Amino acid sequence: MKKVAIYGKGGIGKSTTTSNLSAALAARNLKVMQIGCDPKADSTKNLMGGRKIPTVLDQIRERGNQITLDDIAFVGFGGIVCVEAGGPTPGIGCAGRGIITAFEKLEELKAYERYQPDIVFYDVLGDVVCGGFAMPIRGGYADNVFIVTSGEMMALYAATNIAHAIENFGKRGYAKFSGLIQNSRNVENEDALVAQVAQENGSEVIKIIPRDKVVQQAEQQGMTVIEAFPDSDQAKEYNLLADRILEVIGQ
Amino acid sequence: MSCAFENTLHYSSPAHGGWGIVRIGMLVPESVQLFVCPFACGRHGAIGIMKQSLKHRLSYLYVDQSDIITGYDHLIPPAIGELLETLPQRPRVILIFVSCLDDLIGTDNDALQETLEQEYPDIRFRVCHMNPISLNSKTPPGVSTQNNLYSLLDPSAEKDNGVNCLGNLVKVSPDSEIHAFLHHLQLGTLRHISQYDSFDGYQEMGRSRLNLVIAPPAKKAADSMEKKLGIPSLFAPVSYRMEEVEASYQAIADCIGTDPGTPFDFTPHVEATRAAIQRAREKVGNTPIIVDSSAFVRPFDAARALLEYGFHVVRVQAEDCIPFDQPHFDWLQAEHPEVEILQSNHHRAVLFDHKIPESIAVGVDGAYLAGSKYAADLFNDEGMFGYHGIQSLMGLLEHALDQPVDLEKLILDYGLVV
Repeated sequence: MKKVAIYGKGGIGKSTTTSNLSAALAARNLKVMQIGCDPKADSTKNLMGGRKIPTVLDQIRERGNQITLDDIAFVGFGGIVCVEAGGPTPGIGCAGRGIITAFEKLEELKAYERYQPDIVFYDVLGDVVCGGFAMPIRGGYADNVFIVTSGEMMALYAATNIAHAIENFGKRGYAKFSGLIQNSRNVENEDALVAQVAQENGSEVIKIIPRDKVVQQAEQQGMTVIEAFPDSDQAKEYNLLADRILEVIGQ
Repeated sequence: MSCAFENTLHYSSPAHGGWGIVRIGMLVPESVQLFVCPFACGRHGAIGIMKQSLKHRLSYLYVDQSDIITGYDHLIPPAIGELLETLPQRPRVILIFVSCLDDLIGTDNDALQETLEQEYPDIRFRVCHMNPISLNSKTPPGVSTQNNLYSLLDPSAEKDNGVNCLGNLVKVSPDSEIHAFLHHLQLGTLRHISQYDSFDGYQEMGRSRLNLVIAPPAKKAADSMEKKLGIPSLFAPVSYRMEEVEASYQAIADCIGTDPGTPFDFTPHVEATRAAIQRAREKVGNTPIIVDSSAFVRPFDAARALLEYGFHVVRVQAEDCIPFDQPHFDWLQAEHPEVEILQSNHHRAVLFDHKIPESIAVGVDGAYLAGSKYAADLFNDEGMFGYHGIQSLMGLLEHALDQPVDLEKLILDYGLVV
């Protein structure tokens, strides 16, 4: 089992990229699990036919100690096991603690043992702002971390911050920073800007995903591009990304 | 308030409390503790441990607002260094307790422990959690602390005939028939963590053949020990019902599987128990009895036993019903609906409208709320097991009426801290 965390600035396309990646790998008969680590809880929506699934934290609140794995893990497109950590509504509570609690609950319910996925994706919101958001890159969780970014300055700034956090944890023998995924926004000189940030962080751009309106069209149908338009050029791009990810993580 | 176990604003009586994680952690021989928390969080543990005369083994690293914001794991290794400079004797184990703040900060405690063990290879470290927010989870502080205690045992290539007794915080009375029974099964001593003065001596428990878990908080620790040390476990919780005692002994014999030729003769123990029950019943008569969870890990088992023996149980007082006590709770509701079930931490407990002064309370919390004139000195099933445990309980009841209880003294002597 390989565990991969996908980080990046909010709204940069992490969930879209991760869901298409999961779908591409599931289409190759790999057993995939995707865990959304965002209080918005919409990471897996397009793997579930546009449906938002109940989150781990919602179910803990509702069911207490009676909670079972079937309350929090749902099988979506291609047999992908979908989980949403969930969290508080914006402005209250502690989202970081939400991620820690959800991870502890998944361990306690032996989620990995039961589903035995070949690959697990943690789709993590934004910056590593506290211990909770660092949870997926700790010992026992992700082996590799990829950062999704565009050529926009704020996205690149966030990517650099995340890379520093991983480097800090990397000293403890934890997850490895394994590259940038460029989710293009058609910013001027975008490829060069992203490549430069990759180089400054001792890494590389493992794949450039072009901008394509087919992504939005698929999402309007509650699907990934892989599911809705499997023969499209964009689906090929996501498949190439899947190839690169497998190559980098050595699967 | 007979409909028990509502989640309301909690009332905490002066008789509320138990060992607490500090005192449980102190069971590790040659260990000291460092609490990492804001200073106010240290009050309870500090006062409690002063009462136990163990304050020389407890230290605090106070963290402030800026430490919480920036993370404090980097402050701990130097604090350990400073602590070691002050200790007259180098400890073998340091338990680092973090407060519930840490559940929000998410300190990487595994990495911290690794760093410390590299820096001080002659000392074992465990990071423990003082987090009351986990009280309703599957690993409340009492459970996680026991996990930490027993995780310090190393695997041993050689096994002997010893039996570990887990879950109880005070060892089973030497007068209990369990010792003779184990001997009859050709087993060795019943080992308990409290009997060891040295950490090396404590490692003897890693060689035992069986873990006998007599209280639920050590069940998880026993599961981990089975995986790590290869010691199988048997759950045989303390019971005051003769039927369950007999079943527990049978389960132990079945688990061991050795055939000693002749079965152990329980007859004198059973007869002595029956006689003790008879004596206590004659003395206590129809005096109302309150059964309280500060005395019993499974108060509904105890209440059922006393009702079956013909005592006049009028109330069971508890904060909740643990799963292992549920069948007895159900029995009580079905067979004796007249017995009141009082939730001791319910907000309406402060109305003090449940006085039964002419009663015997088994448990200080029960005695406090009822204003009982008489009380039996029992906490947490301490020392109890088997037929001897029933006899001891009967002895406590028999002598409870001898003189009115000095409840404050009983509470203070035990070291409870609200």
